[in-house]
This record gives sequence, C-alpha cells and structure tokens, in this order.
Amino acid sequence: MTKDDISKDVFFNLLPLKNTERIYGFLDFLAIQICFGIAAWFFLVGGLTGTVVPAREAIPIVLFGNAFPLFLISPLAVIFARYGVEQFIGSRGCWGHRGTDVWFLIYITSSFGWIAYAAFLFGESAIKVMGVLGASGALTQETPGASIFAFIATFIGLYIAFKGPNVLKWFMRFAAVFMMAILLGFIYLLFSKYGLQHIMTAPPPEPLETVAWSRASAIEWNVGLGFSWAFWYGQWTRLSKSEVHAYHGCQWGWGILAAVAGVFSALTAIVVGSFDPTDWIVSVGSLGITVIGLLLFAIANISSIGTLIYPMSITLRSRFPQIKWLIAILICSIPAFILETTPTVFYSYGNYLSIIAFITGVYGAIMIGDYLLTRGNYKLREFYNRKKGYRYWAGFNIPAFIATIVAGVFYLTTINPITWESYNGLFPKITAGLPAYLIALVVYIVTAKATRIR
Amino acid sequence: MGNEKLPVDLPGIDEELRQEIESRLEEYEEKYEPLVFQSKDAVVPRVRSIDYLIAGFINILLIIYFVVAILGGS
Repeated sequence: MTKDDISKDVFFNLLPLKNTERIYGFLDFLAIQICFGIAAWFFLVGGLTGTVVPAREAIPIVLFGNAFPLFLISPLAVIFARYGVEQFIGSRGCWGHRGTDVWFLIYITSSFGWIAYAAFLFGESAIKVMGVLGASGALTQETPGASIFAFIATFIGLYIAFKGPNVLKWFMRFAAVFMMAILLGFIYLLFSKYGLQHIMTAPPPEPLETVAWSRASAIEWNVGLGFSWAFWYGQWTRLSKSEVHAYHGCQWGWGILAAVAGVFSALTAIVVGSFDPTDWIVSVGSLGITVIGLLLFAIANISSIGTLIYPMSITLRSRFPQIKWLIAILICSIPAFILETTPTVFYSYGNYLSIIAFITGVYGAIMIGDYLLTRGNYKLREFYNRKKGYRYWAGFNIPAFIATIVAGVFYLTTINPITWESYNGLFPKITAGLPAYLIALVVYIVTAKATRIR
Repeated sequence: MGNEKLPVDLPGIDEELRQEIESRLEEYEEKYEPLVFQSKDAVVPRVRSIDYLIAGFINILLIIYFVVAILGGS
C-alpha cells in the first residue's frame, strides 16, 4: 500500500495536472496554509520578537514582517497553478534546468533547519514533562536531554514520512487540532492571568543594545519567515482550481491569518520572559494543563517534522526517480540529526531566519522579476526537456545568477547572519531582506533586458 | 529552436510516465497554450488585475499601521 502510494505521488508529482485533477479552492487553501503555517516556526518567531520589542511594536512587526514579503512573492502561486506543475519543475522557465538544480539543492539543505527546530521544540517539551513529573538526571536537562528527545522526534517524523501520505494525513489532522488548542489555550490563559493592560505596557525582557537594533532585528526575523514560503508554493498551488484561489489562499493563509499565532507568541514572550514556547506552557498553566500542553505540543511538532520530510523526499525523488524511497527519506533527514546535537542551533533561530530571508527573498525576487517580464507565460514542453528546453547558457540563466550575487553581496555586507554585525553600517538604519529583494528584482530585470534573454 | 517539438527528456523516468507526460503536453498545447500566450483563461481561470489591487490595498493599510505604530513608539 505504502510503496504504491509513494510511487503514485512521485508519478503524480512529475505530471502537469489537468483541470479535472485540481482539487483545491480558496477555502481549502486557507485551511491548509493556516495549518501548515501555525507550527513551531510561527511560535518561535513570535517569541523572538516579543523578547526584544514591546507589544505595541511586536504586533505590527509580526503582521507586516510576515504579510508584506508574502505579498511581494505571492504571484509565485500563480505560476504553478497555471501549469499544474511542481515548484522545481515550474522554476525551470526562469532559472534554466541546471540553475533550478542549484536551487533545488539549496531548498533541500536549507530545510534541514526547519526540521531541527521542530525536533528541538519536541525535545524542550519532553525534558519539561520529565521535570514536571518529578524525574531527574540527564533527561530533564537541555544537554543532552533535549537533543536525545529531538533525535527520537526526528526518527518518528521520518518514520511517519516513510509510511507515506495516508499516515501523514492523520498526523497532520491531529497536529492542526493540537496547535489550535494550544494557541487558544494560550490566548485564554495569557489574558486571564496578566490582563491586557499589563501585556501592552510590559517592557521586552531581552532587548538588544539599542531600540533600532531591536526593531530592525525583529523585522528581519519576521521577513525571513515571510519570504521562506517562496520554496513551498508549487507543492500546493499546482492543485488549485483557479489562479485566483491559489493567489489569495496562500497570501492570507500563510500571511495575516497564520501570523496571528506569531502575535500571541510575541505577547506571551513579553510577559513570560522567554522565546521558548515550552517555557510559556510551564509558566502560565497548572500542573495538569502544563503536562497536557507539553504533550500536545510535542506530538504536534512530530507531525511538523513529517510534513517537512515527506514533501522534501517526494521532490527529491521527482528529480532523481532512481533513488529508493528509504534513501530519499534518509537524505532529507539525517543532516537534521547533526543540527540537533547542540542546543546552540536552537538558540540561533534568528540567525537561521536571516539566512532564509536572504536565500528565499532572492529566489522569490528573481522569479517575480521573470514573471513581470514574461507575464508568467512559459512553454510547458520546455520544462520537460533537459537538453534543449530553457537552455539559456549551459542550463543556467546568467542574469538571474548575476542578480543573486549582487543581492548577496548587499545582504551579507548589510547584516552578517552569523555574527549579527553590519559591515557597511546600513543595518539597523535599514533592514537587509526587503532591500535585497528589491535589488535582486531590479538587477534581474535590467540584465535580462540588456542581454535580451527576455 | 523554431517549431521543433521537443520530446520529453528527463533522466530516470520510465516509459509509462514519459508517455503520460507526452500525452498531457500534447493536450495542453492543443487546447490551452495559445490561450496562455493571449493572457486568457486556460487550464484554470487566470488571475486578474483586481486581485493584485485588492492585495496591494490591504498591504498598504498594513504598511500604514506599521509605520504609525513604529513612529508612535519612537
């Protein structure tokens, strides 16, 4: 059953879909993207924001930081809906076949971080459950306890992904309900325990050295999450019944609606004093609520891991059909185990988001630049011929790579994602992700016109 | 490339899948490709300018809220 389902998915993934195979309307997209969006990543980015800026700034920063970048890249939804093709098939018109391979590799490798964060949140939940239940020793401590539990979560997540879409579907349903229960529970507990007045006036617990650095950093983290969806359109919108449904469903589902989770995370972090959602569960609830909350959160994070590994593995096998399913699953999960060996990765979420802001912002900008130049009109047949379709220069669209390099130099000199320093002094006067997007867009349009590729 | 019809050429796919892709490409080229290049509804209804305007308008409101909130906090 499983093998057939997976073969069917790989088979299905490579085909351009007919209109009779399109199953998602606007409300379907809203529901799916809200469930996919409200997970570890939104809880963590909200938490980070709340640790550095007060509530009156955290709310607009989370909403704007997520929704506006998404608005800038939302026409991507249209491309894959128009042709019914998967993300890294539909990207070939812009990047060339080999250029798309480069982005495919970046997509897989950059996604290990998302797995590690969900796994680590499972680990943090698990060690706290152990502590609340009176256990002691290594399994109640972050090192090595959280890492050990993170390994277990990743292993269960990869097993769920290995079992295929039917098992995954059931876990996703539970995860969505659990995440919503936790979110609603937080909202109730937060307001009943602290009151609106206190939440809105409390200072952030760990602001950066200046207000400007706190604001710019918070914006950069949220922009990173907003742009990060650029890699995840085609997997969903190829199934859309209409370009309009794909466009609006993704934009509002991943944007303002899912960002509500980030807003409440930010408010909770401000009053609890930690960006880690598992600390909040321990702080705001009674013993029973704490244990239930942590368990729900742990299970929901396992599902998040499965929902990441499965599409990554399907996409990997779509590009390399010779790879066995188990090997594809292992390729898409083993590096995450390495990231989970140290809590340093967990506490570097802001740095990770900054790297993601650069990567996905530039990818999205150039795809949108090409969309503006071509109106998103590509020759579908050329997506399916590696030797002669969308050749450009040896399979690479050079203007796209020139734009990537120019935007990359700007981004990395404006903010170093690892050391969080600005070499050109522009950060925090301006942020890096949104300007890098605009630079990549303009440079691509100008160079593509100048070289007459478009 | 001229009018040459490119064959399906992807490494690692079997004959059954190649034929299925080919038949879908032919159907698409016959029924929908001219419509796509005329910016008309094709396989699915096309996005309209009004959709971009609606999204743009909501985002402008969001930007105004953001700017007012940040400047108000300065």
